[in-house]
Amino acid sequence: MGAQDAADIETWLSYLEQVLAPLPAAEREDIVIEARAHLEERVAAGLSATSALAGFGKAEQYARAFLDEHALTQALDSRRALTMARTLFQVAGQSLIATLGLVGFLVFGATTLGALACILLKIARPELVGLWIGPDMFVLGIATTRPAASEMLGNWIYVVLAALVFIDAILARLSLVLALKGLKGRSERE
Amino acid sequence: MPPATDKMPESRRTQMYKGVLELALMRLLQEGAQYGLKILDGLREEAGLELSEGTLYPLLHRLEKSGLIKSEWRHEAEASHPRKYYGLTAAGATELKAQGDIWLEMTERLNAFLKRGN
Repeated sequence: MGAQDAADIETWLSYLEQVLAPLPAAEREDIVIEARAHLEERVAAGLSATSALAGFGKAEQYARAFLDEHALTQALDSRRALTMARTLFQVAGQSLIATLGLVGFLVFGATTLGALACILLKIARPELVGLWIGPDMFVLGIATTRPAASEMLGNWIYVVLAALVFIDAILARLSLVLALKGLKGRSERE
Repeated sequence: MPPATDKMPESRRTQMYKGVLELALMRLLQEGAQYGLKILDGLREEAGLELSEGTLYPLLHRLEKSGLIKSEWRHEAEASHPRKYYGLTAAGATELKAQGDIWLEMTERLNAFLKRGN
């Protein structure tokens, strides 16, 4: 192999190793060693380094497939809502699936927190939280001014609010998981 | 807007490749473990799939993560570097059979449909 070919391959591999930094060391090393073996075998068979490297494309593009797969798998395996939300946030600008997943998470997350706040307020100020239904009104939750209808649920409001917390928390989580699985499926098809 | 028939043949071909690449790769590995460069050449020469290294290695990586193939490094006398050999797992063989059956049935019917009246 000529000096220029060796230098070109070395430069590309060094850069590849840098951009693969988020991967675990063993995985990163595997990818780089495998690419090196492939490139050196092609060059030994008579191909120029430029032609051999063309098949891999730019190092950052080549690395992207491994990095995306890793980030999505890590987020799903973590089972932590904040890790999943952070991963979606990073790609939300380029992906409708990620944006929808994040919107779902924020909407259902906010209603979960709202229902939790209502439960706490009901304990402290029971008269402010309840269900009021009148001819021109429907209030479920907090009423800062006394509504013109009688409260309908009494202590059953705790059950309703607890159910809301439970269902909305599941829906918030489901929004994240489905978006991540959708993105993973899409990256597998690309 | 140009009519759909003006689409680049290469673009159509690429879309179709994506669907069959995984199937062809598993079929190739069914005949025995191989390393990346040989897999690439095999898919190009035997299956007629013009894929690049940038497509093949991430696919091998993904199939390994999903348990359909497995890999091992081998040090061979004639090679200056160790080679990573990929082989089909039992789960991969099952998946290959399932995907192969679907593909054969689908293409048989589609071929008959496309040739209808010709």
